[in-house]
Amino acid sequence: MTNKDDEINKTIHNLCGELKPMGCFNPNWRAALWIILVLTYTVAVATTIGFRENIAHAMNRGEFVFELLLAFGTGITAGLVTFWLTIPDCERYKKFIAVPVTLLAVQLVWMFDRLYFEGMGDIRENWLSHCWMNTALYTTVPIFAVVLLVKKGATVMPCALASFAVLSVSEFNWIGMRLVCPKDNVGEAYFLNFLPYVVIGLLAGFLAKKLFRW
Amino acid sequence: MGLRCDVYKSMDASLSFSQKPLYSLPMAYQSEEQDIVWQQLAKKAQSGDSAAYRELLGSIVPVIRRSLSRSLPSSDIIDDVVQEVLLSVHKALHTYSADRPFLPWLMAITSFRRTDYLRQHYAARGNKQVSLENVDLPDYLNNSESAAQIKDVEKALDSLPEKQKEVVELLKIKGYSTREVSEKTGLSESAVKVTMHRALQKLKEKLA
Repeated sequence: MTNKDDEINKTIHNLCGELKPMGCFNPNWRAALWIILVLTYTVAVATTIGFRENIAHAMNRGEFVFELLLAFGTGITAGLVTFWLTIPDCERYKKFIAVPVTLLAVQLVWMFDRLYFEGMGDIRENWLSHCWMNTALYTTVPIFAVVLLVKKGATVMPCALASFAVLSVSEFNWIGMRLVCPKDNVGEAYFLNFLPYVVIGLLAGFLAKKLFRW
Repeated sequence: MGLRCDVYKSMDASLSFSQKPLYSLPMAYQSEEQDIVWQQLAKKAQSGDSAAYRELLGSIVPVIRRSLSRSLPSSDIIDDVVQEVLLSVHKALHTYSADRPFLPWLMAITSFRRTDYLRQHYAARGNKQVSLENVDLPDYLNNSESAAQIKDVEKALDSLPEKQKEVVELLKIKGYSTREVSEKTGLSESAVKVTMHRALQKLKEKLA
């Protein structure tokens, strides 16, 4: 036996010595836990900030409900994909990646369609103040929760995982913003309330490999 | 397969524990049956059975090694990555679901660690480094053709004006930067570049 063989044998001995009974990591349970947590949190924050005054009127508008449902579908599926990517043999789940990506594409087409026909609309002057504060409030807990829950896993696709985590967090919190922000024009709803998530996404992209290293 | 198992069992019994090479005895992955064995071993390992874990780790080493040997150049590197994969299997064992095949889970980790290694290797320009033991330099002293070429280059260099010769020696032979050559010769940096360019032109004409 060579030195390298000895080293491998020693490694195996050491690893066997460190072995302890362990609970199985179930990505579905974690995804369910995270989705329940983020939904509860989003509703709680919206209630605390206060729902928009025209919420009843907005809920009667078909396109508003469509936007919310589209964001909800994207958020749920992106959340599930995020947790499915936390296990090494995630190959079998890769086909589901098409679902949130397709929903996101529909959302972008919808946004550009509205931008083309309606224009940007009025954007308030003090846009940097409460909108971004609300966004920060909406995102903090979900981001910490998803990082904590995901770090227990062992991903072999850290960048894709981070992307879907950001997408999921963004969608849920965009729904939260729609519940509290009375303005639905493209400028406010899609650009102003969307930009913070782009920033978060970029940061997450840079940090993904270090954050989810194992 | 049954016969092979018997052979391994008899080999196993004939070796004392300290002599036993842990990973070479069990057979490499050959069939779905092997995967089922691994699934059972992994399940036992998850419940804390270290004997099953030892058997599992021992039996996957040849499989990992064979998978890595297709894309990594030397056995030393392969063994290093095998150890990385074993550590990763240990860290990620809780993510394995015993009702799923074991091999795809293992291969995903192996591939991830191999990519990790190659990324670091290329980032550190490891592919462009050669260890001092393996340097393959031509023997200029004993090779008459090379010696003649060197003499031609030396003659061409001697024929250059003094300033150009000095710049070529400092910049191309001793490896100084343009700024350092500028400080040593008192020429400006752009003058050093122009001198070097002219010297190379002359050398090219003489050696053509």
